[in-house]
Amino acid sequence: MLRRFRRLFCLAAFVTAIACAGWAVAGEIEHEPGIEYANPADQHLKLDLTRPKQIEGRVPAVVCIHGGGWAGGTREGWQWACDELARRGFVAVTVTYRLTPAYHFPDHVEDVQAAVRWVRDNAERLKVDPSRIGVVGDSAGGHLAQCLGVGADVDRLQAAGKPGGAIDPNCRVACVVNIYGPNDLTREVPKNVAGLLRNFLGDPEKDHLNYILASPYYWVTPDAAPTLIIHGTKDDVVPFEQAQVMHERLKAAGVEVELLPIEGAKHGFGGADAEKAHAAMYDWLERHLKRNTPAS
Amino acid sequence: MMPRAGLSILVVFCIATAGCAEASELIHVEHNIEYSNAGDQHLKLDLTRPLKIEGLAPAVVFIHGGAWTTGKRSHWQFACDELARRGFVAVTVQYRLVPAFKFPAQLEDVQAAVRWLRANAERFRIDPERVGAVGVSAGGHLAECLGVGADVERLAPHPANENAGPIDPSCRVQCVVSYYGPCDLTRQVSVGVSNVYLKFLGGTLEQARQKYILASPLFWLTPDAAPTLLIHGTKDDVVAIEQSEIFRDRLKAVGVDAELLPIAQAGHGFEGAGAERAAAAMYDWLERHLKAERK
Repeated sequence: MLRRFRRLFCLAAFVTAIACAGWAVAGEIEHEPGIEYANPADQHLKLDLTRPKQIEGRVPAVVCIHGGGWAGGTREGWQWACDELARRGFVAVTVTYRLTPAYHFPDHVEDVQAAVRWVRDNAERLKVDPSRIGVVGDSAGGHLAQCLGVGADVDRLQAAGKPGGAIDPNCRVACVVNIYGPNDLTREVPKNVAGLLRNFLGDPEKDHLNYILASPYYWVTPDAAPTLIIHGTKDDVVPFEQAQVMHERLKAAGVEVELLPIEGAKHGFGGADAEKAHAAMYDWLERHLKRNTPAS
Repeated sequence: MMPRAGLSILVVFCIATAGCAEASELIHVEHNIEYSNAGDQHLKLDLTRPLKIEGLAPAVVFIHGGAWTTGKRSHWQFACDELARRGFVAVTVQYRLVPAFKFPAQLEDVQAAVRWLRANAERFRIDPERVGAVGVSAGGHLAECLGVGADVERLAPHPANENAGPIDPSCRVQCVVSYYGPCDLTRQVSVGVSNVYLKFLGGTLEQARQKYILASPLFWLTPDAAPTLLIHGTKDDVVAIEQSEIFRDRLKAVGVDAELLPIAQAGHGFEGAGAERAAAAMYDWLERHLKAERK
């Protein structure tokens, strides 16, 4: 999967010039694992933080969200990217969140929102610029990242049908990379995924509104964060169509969006595909979170 | 002929259904209240209310049409009178017009009107959580904007709005009725309408596409939108009924209560039986969505 190509990026790391609003020594990174960022339902949710050893001023931050059908996976799955991002001058965290079947929507969304809030609340200590927080995720993590990007706030999710809820500005993100995450959960998906959705959202008929509320597709407004979607054209878990409809919807709303199709790839990238995907991801984060690049 | 007993039962019934208005026939109109002074324009509204209100009454903001260029708030006085008889506090508002003022001035003004109602809730015995918006044509468009929470603060050019504050809940509305308003300004229908959009938005679609998007309630629509009734003539040659069909479909897709009442053979403007049917549906929608007391 994604981690296969981490070594390639290790090589590049030592020649990467870190030039953003803040400044960090290229390549030198340090870890602060196991930080509790929230404690909902007494679950002591933790994140692992990776950062450049030396930071001058403020640097951008990235929150990484693992996949696993909202039911499995561990935050260690994104450590390779956190290391690379820290080498490139970002503060990066990879987060644990509550899983099915013990927890259901919107708990997962609440947790990743709490993670963004934690980064923002700790911006000063972490030397992070709170206006430059990005988010990346794969599969179910891509879905959660996309939820953050469209501002699908739990307050508003819970207030569904009760207008008046407000987006909490503290869990907004400045850009998103969504790696084969589903976007419209009301669309047809393969049987095994339908089972995952059932655990996450309930019965597709009886709890249909949950399927809508949990779909970033339906929360898109002109205000959504710039988004890069990376998706295999032969994905047999999350159909490629999911990427296409989200791409179209964001585009229609005038939001900056790119779809990088990985030709012939399934759910999970290897070899040259992974290399291409990761290069595009780092590029997107650099372009949207680092100040020295002109705004597009 | 109606027996006397029947008549008095009818009167009692009227009073009972009005709920918050004790004497349903007695209404009071206050003209020319300045609700905002944006652009030094001393924007005014006319407020109509039941003479007596028990508890808190729902409120409705009425928005006139006229291509954002013309029109008068007096257009809606008939509906304000009727709603006051039914126990609502109703206002019909003036707003800044094209060409002196371009988008989003018009939206800012109707948002200010909703905020004004909430700010004066105590004085007029309004329930700030039961506020609706009704508009016709360009006013329907503005009412739809209020219903989807297209907040002007968030209308700042994308993506420079990363530090934008939260949607101000005080200009949201809890239900909307739109008479033949456009929801997607990026869909061009006729040369005439294109010229109106040009003046409203300060450029052609090609020149100012992002503004056309930001000014389109369709693109702000989320599961959090207000329940919306759309009323549209099937032969509307100014704003095609397709605009209301798209909006209804999108509202339904996100699980929001929405209905489209087509007025057969009607164009851009209703009269006679069509106008009566539209008004009856409007009153019914407002009663259904705003009348029930909160738990």
